[in-house]
Amino acid sequence: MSDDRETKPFKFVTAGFDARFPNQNQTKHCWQNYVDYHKCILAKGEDFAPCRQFFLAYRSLCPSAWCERWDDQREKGTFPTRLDQ
Amino acid sequence: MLNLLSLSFLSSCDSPRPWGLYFQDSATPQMEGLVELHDNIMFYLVIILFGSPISHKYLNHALILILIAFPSFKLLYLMDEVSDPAIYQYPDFLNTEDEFIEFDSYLVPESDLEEGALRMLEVDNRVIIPELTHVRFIITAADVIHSFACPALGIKCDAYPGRLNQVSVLINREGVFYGLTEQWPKL
Amino acid sequence: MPIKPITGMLRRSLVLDISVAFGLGTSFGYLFWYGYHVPAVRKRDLYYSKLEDQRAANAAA
Repeated sequence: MSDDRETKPFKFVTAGFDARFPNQNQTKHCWQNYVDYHKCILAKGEDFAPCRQFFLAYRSLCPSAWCERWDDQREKGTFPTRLDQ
Repeated sequence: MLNLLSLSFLSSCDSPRPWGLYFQDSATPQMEGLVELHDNIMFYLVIILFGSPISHKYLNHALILILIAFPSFKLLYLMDEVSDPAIYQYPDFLNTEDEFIEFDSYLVPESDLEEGALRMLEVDNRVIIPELTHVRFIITAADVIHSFACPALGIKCDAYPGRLNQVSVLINREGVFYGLTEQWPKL
Repeated sequence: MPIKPITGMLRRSLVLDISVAFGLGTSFGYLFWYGYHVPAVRKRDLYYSKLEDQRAANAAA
């Protein structure tokens, strides 16, 4: 442990309980929020504030490896869901 | 030997002990429920244990096994109840600049263990979790099926690649809880 | 003198076996319950009440 550690202020955010996903299996919870976020920013733009809740939810639920993979797929256009409708 | 046995049987704590015969100390309501259920069932099982060598000729103890299944189901469904995680979820706290906490935690290899450390349980980066807060673990695996379990917290969950499992706990005291885990460290 | 016919053997062994089995079983069951479970619960509750007091003291301080 280094002594010159930097302490940053944090506001803690995570996805709450969602009635659509009451199960132990949260895979779709993560996926749905990822899709919703990207649909949202496509429709409304990056700065549209309400999109942020989807962002926070998917960032806290999805493993980062999954997000990276989906980001790659979106870039290549092989993402399995249409985000523009 | 006797000393060791009595030590392990009577003094439970947050980690496994040599010759441990009973649960580790519970730290969550789930685990308390589990211990309570275990003791209740044990009462009837002790009756069967001492009674059946004599009475097996006349009685069928399967009935008792059916009866103890019901409180077991009740507990099982209560434990699966998903509680709303308060505000925390550990590895992915986001601050306003979208930075988030992410870290790896691996088992300390046997050759690096210090004196008194627990083999196959000590990790190099402990997860710190708030007490008296609803905490959710999201569990997945990267390669094959693993499992995430923490006896003192009363949770055990399979970890599958491509699937996110959640378990929620409410820890009601401080402690270092060791999990028997072979998991990808996305707790 | 004719001996009395031997009757009631089945009933006798039945009553004896079952009562011995259940007597033994329940006594060991209660031994476990009051010898182990109840003290363990008491110890746990004592610990938690102590912890609760400490938390209250910390919150007051």
